[in-house]
Amino acid sequence: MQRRFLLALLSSLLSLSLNLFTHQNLFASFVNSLTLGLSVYFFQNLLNLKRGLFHYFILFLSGLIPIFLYAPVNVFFSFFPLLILGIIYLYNRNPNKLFLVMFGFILFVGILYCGEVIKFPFEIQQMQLIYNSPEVNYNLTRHQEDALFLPYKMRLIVYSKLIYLYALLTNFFDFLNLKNLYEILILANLYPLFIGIYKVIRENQKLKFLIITAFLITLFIAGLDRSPDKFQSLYLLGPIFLYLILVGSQFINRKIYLTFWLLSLFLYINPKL
Amino acid sequence: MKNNFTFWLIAVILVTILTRFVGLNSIPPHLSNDEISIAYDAYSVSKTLKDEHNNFLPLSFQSHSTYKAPLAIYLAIPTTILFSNGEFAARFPSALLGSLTILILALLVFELTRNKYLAILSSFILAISPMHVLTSHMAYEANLALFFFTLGIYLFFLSLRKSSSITFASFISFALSVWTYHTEWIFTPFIIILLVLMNIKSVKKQPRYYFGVLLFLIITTPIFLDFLNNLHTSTRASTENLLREPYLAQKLEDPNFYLWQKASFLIQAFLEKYSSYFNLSYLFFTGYNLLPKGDPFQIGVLLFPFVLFFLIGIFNVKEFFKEKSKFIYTLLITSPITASLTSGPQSTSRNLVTLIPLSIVCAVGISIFWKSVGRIWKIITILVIAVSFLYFLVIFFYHFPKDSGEGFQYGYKQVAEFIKPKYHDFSQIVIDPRFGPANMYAGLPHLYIPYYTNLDPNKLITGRRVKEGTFFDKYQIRNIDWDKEELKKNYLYIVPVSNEPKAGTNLKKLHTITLPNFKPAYYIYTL
Repeated sequence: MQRRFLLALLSSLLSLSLNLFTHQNLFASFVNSLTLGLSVYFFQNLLNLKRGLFHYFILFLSGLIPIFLYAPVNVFFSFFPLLILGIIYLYNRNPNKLFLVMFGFILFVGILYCGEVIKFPFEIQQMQLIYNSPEVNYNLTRHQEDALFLPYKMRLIVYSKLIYLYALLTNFFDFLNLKNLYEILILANLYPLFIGIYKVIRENQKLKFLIITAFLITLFIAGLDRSPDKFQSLYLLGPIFLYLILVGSQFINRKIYLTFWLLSLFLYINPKL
Repeated sequence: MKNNFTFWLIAVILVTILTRFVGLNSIPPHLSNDEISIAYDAYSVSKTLKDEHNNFLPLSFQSHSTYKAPLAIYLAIPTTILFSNGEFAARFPSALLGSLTILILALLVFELTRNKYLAILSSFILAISPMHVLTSHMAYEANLALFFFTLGIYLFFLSLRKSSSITFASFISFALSVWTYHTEWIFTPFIIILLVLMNIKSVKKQPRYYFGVLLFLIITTPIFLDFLNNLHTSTRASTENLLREPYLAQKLEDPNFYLWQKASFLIQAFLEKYSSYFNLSYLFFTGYNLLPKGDPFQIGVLLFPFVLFFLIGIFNVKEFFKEKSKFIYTLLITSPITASLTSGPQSTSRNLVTLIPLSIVCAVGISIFWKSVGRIWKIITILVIAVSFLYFLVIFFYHFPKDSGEGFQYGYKQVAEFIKPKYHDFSQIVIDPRFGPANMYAGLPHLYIPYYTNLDPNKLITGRRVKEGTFFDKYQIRNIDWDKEELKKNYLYIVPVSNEPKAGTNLKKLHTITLPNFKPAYYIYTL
């Protein structure tokens, strides 16, 4: 118990100092490090992680994960990941649909606000939404006029506004790329992350449905947004990413992981390209 | 069950023929920059045994500021002799070997899984892959290399349970992939090492594999020696590597950064490239990238419904491939490495090898999906795939040729067709090689025109290549500045639309060459 608390405290302190160093926002720093500390503590208990230097190492260095070092546009939004963690905790104790709905709702609203699709209090940024893309509209009209091999009425069906769904999916999957992931989680953590996703999906874990819901909602909103920002859009998923990393960490090749960590630290301390 | 399999087999064959051979000479609408280099050198070697630069049977072909691996050119020689100069002759080897790659993939999957449905499904996915259709429709070295590479892998696995001659055939095929495209210079040796290590128990007891490796080294040595001899020149491996990426090169040359910081930049640039090749949007939505930028009807390397099956398949490869799944995963993870070490935007031709594991993983995904859903979902799936394939056909056969003329230097063939019957009417033919907005691109009329007019290749070989332009036979390929140009009788002037002579000259416009979208591309004048 003490050991788990100590590890949570240490990673939280590491995160706090790096938060203050990165953005000097005291409030966001405190909430971020609290979220991380509680996540580390909770997930250690939930997964019943083995004792050992390797897991101490992973848990302590989770304080370096950039997604927990981000200060949202409105400091009060930094409570969203904490709320998400709270619901995961409740859902884990009592997996009923009410928590799932709450989870989905908070996530949906939280990402809309954090991603500035909606500005506080309730100002929707129409121009930021995918269905207002001038490029899509222009090309849609162009194809409707160009496709002379079809009768005009058919062209309106073949080249219809349904293309926005395709554009949304394009945006959605464009956002889900390795670069975005390693920039918010550190390169080394992608290895346990993918193993974690594999395990959660294959082994039908209790949180499986909640995690899939979280990813679908997040990516749907990222798809709606014409230029989603990785930190803004994925900020609320911080605890979920940490959970997946910790799940995966139990099954990885430690030598490979540590090699990736060395590489990650090397990149971490050097300037960005 | 048997009928089901026959249906899929016929479907794969029909789709392959329809998508690889229909419109081979008109889609893409014109031979591209790279294609004309291959086509012309094949023509030149077939007539003179020399390339356009007067090199006797070269091992690497110099082609506008870079060098090409030789096999694609040598393979185009028989078709050039057989079908005469034209798109069909240039593209036929790629279409044929591209089609055979589909068959080889089916055989490979069957060899690894003994599951004929998975085998036919993998080949079907490759058959309808927009990127593979496109690369098979073009004289693409990468597409030919993919065939030899896939064949090499298949024969290797087959050799594990068969005779020694198959082992040698496998290594010969691997060596031919190296002779065909630069990506395979790195990737093929890597895969050979991987295959050997993964099957070390079987391999180490059998001397034929040692001889196979030796054979591979012997066959590829001339290529590597030629590369080493030409290191000082602009071989593709030297000119198109990641270090030449402008944003990286700038940082690497900056004296304010320490050596380890520069190393970090290099790693970051590599990771960024590598990540871009695994971008699902690129793979399933936009990687085709042949419609103008920003067009939402863009298509991916594979059709978009397969993204779902890829996500399912990636977690289930082991179910079908057992211990061989490690090979499939490694192939998937490592295939973009070579492409990530090169400069420029994402290049599917450099990353074409990914199509193999990608098709396999998607086939696994479909198989799993098929087993776990009801009839309605199956019908919906078939409908979605069919509709997306129809969209692809519309884009490939209609919109792409219409929108992409300029990118393929469209117009030079038409210029050649104009010149051919009037060749003797003019004493000199002056062609301004620039094109595009504000004349920003330089074309290759010195290859297109002699190729399409069947000019004796010796005339280009003995021509003059100087700073001002290329001069051969009665052709002058040079920029035309109308203010300084001394206009002469019996001269034919061919200029891009952006270099129209000023009003008031005595020039008479003989003809206008238009792009497939009906916009003018070139004007032809005489006094």
